[in-house]
Amino acid sequence: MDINLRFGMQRDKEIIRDLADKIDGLVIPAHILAYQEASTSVFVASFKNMPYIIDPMTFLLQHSRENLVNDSGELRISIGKMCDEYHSSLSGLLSNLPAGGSLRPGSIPDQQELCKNIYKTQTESVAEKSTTKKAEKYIKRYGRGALTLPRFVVAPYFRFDSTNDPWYGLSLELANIMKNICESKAESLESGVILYLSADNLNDATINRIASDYASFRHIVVWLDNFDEASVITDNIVKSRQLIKQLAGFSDVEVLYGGYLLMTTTIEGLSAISHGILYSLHKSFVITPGGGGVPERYYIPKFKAFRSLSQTDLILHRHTELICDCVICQDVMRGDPDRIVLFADEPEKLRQHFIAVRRNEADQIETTKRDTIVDELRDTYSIYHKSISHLPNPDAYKSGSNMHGLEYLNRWADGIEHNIS
Amino acid sequence: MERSKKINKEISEKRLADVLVSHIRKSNPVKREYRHYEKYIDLIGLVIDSNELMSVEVKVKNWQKAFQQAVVNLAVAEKSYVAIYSEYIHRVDLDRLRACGIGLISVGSVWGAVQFIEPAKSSQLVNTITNKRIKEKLCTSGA
Repeated sequence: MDINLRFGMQRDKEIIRDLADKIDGLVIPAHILAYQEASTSVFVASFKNMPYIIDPMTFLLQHSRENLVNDSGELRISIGKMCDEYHSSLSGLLSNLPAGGSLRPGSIPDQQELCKNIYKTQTESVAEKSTTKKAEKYIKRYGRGALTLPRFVVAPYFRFDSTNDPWYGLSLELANIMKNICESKAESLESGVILYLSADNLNDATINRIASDYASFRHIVVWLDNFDEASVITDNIVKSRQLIKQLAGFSDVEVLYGGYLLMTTTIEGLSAISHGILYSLHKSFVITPGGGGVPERYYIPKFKAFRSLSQTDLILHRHTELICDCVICQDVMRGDPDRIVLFADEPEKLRQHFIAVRRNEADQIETTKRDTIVDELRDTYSIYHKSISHLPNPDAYKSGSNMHGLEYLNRWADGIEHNIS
Repeated sequence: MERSKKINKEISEKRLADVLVSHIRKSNPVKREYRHYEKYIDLIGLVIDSNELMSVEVKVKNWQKAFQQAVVNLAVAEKSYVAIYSEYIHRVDLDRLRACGIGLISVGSVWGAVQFIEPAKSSQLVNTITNKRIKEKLCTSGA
């Protein structure tokens, strides 16, 4: 199974460079490419044959005005720049939205023009922007590699609730337009789509309809909205597996934003997973205000999940057998739980550890049988749940001194072993 | 009488911490708001006699929140305490604290109004590297 890393922050670039041998490709958000154009394009171009796709990020156009503007009420620079590349009227349309207003499917301008420009952005901007004068300082930093085209061109897409949702119809229309554009071009690039939906809204009819509508696409990326693996219900796991299995019957299927649970759908035919570094294992359409820096977290391989460093400290002191044996942890931890504190001194090693483990998981899962995965999840639950659910975990508070522990592993096991047609 | 009691109950967490620090600092080096991973420990002190760290999470009345933070502090200090405003001390479930070895301190609004209600047990989960680093800091800064 392939691992594609999605980068969001500037510092991700340095980390991805160090981890390049552990990953299979990159996902580049178009608004970041538009905003940090020189550094991002030189960075992508600096690799020797690093496969990548550019996420067109068009779902941002569905957001309400408040999520698209900065504190002074102007369109955010990254979104504005991206929109200007896509269509001359887009920035104006978004800027003129009333308070609380958002674009409707019918207000998306000239679909043909939009797709042509998005095709151009995805096939030309890395080459163009990596050779400008501004790019020179980044070439010194990242070096000059062998410029490649994306793996496939991603059609503009929007989040939809059902196949009756007008946003579904528009996404499908745009996907077909982009397919035709790709077929007419000399680059012979294939087109792909991102299906952005919530697992809550999946049912047999929806899955069948999607599979039928997208049957001619060879690259399908599934983004399950806010698919938080720690809280997802069994029914949604089953439905997600059904969707992936059906799509994988005719297409190369990847998942955008996902963790170990979605990786197990390799059994259903999933070929790749994309996520960020220490974050973005799931992502919601709803934008939460505030935020700030991402807290440093440690990936506990046995739990298939991250824990805060303070909780990891307690967990590893109580269960020293959980100390990871990846190359990074062998060097940092040396079998001593006290040394977990050293990760706080060198947080980049947390990322190296996570990607090393994720690489291992991705390689192993391809040859692991369904029953084995289920047994391992249930075993981990039975050994550690009681102990873990009494350790403080600010991310999993239940009541009193009780925390959510490893209940999710049992739900995963139930969902994975459930028979699907 | 009613009025003075009401004013008393509006005491701030900072005031309680001030009262507690002034009491502990008499004989031991103390630091407030000490960064530990992603959180801050309200108060950490070095008990000179035993060469042990004591951590304290201070709250006016939300003892459960203080308790959770105090459990995290078991990885830092040999003795981990919860300090609650004396007016609300009766709300604390002592058995729950005892089960984890967390101690309890009652703090009043006036200087010196500090009472150790329940002693903390020695933590078995102390991270010796963190513990040593903090002790060194407390000793060198002479806090």
